[in-house]
Amino acid sequence: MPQTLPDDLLEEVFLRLPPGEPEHLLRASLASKLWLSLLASARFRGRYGDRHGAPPMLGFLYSWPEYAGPEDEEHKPHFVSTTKFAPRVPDDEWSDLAYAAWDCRHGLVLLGDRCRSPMGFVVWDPMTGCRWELDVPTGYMSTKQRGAAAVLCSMAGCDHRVCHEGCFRVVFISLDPKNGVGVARAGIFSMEKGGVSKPCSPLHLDDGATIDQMPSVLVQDALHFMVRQPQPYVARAILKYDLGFDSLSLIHVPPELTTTVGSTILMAMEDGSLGIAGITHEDKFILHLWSKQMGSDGVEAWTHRRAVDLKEFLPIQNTKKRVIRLIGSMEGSDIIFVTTDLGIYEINLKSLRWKKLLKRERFRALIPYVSFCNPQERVSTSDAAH
Amino acid sequence: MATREAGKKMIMLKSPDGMEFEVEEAVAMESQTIRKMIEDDCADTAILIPNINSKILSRVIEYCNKHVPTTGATGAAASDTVAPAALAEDLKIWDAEFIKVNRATRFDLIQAASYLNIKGLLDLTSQTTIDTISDNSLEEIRSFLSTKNDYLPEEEQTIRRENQWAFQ
Repeated sequence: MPQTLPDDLLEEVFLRLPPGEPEHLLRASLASKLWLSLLASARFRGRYGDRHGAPPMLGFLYSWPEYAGPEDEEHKPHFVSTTKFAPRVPDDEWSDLAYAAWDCRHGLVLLGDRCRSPMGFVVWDPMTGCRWELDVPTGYMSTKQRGAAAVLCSMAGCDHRVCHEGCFRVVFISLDPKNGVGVARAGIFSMEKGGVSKPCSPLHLDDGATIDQMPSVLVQDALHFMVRQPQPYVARAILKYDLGFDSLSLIHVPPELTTTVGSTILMAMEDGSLGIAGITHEDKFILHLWSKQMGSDGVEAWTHRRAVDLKEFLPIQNTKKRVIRLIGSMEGSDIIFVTTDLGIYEINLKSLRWKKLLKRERFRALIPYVSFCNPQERVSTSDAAH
Repeated sequence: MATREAGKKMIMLKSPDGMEFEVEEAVAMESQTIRKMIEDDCADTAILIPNINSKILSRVIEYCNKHVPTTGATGAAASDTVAPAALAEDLKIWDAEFIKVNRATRFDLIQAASYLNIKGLLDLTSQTTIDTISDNSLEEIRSFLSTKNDYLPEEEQTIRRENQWAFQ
């Protein structure tokens, strides 16, 4: 009669521990060092990821409208857990920067302070607590330039399920008004190289063009940012930065979303396509979803995927006003985040399942933190002492 | 022993302790391992199942009998007579009863499900162990799965401190 299971079957059992309840994997790893080495192995991590697909959301970061931030004294990142997971926040001083979350991808969070010149940037790994201050050259990103930035893992061959090696790139897009046109440029801060690359060829936008202060979405090795151009009237467009070609280009949005009246959000959808969800100016509760699909002629075009009447299922108090704002999306899924006058909600646009995440708050952007929570082998205290 | 029904291909499964079980081929093919043997023509009239004693093998067959598609609770064709939701609910209740076994039998069933590659049974048997891990203290988990705590007290304290959230 077996009193325990052989290692391969223990692994088979551990594979079924739910990723959305990350405490179980950690607790199991503390049962014995044998279990820790099993759970921390690359083999187990790979199998766990294969079995569960996309990593779960463990919590989120948020940014707030200008001049409406929390008035706390502590300049630490604002992380809200949606599971038991608690991030590891270094408790030494975070200097005096007023950090807001700009972006989060591959388990890394990009924090920045817009009020400082040159802007201060930090990359933080909530799983390990590691933090890297970026030495962005003066004049590269200034408050006048209204730029944007994105973070992503830069490890070759990484499947981005567990990226805790500290190899990352931060892409800066600066938007510099010059001679009556807005000039967009992109440069990459690379952790390995420790500096900012030479900016790519400029892309000329209308004078007065701005980039929305929302996280970018990564689709097919390109980052996408929402921009607004003032000519001939304020109109939306998508600024695309292709990482492979190091080039910028502009993508039109579906005509229904060109005007800036309603709320709009970019998505990196589950099927791998670029998506855009928006509430048009015609109806303040109907959300339309488009995605870029390859047509039979080999040209990518926006395809209208669905229209959803949000007031049919989301709790809304005041149906007379435009109370719905789209505040974020989860990459690799059909999930978006919205605020109504009653709270902050997560909605899956495929299944239309939704849940409330938080009471009503003034959010500009909700940035999900998604990750598996595989235990990591650490140097034991006795080894470290030698 | 199962009786031969008209038009249904039967297969003989043998356990190492000498017992023989005649089962419908469709039931035996709930096991991907046996399915592959049959499809590759490696199976004669009888298949020896190594390492799985007759007591466990009979339980596995009981599970497969219940879970073979298109056969409902009463053995009647399920597609027209029983709603899928009701059928799923019935199976769930049946599974819950089926898995009320002692620890040794459960571990045997996990091993059998893994060897025979029966996904549903492996999920079911593993899940009960998952529940044990989820619902019990570290000490109880260690004792249930007979793993020895080889952390030094200070190492355990450090990990607990650094991951406090997981132990609350």
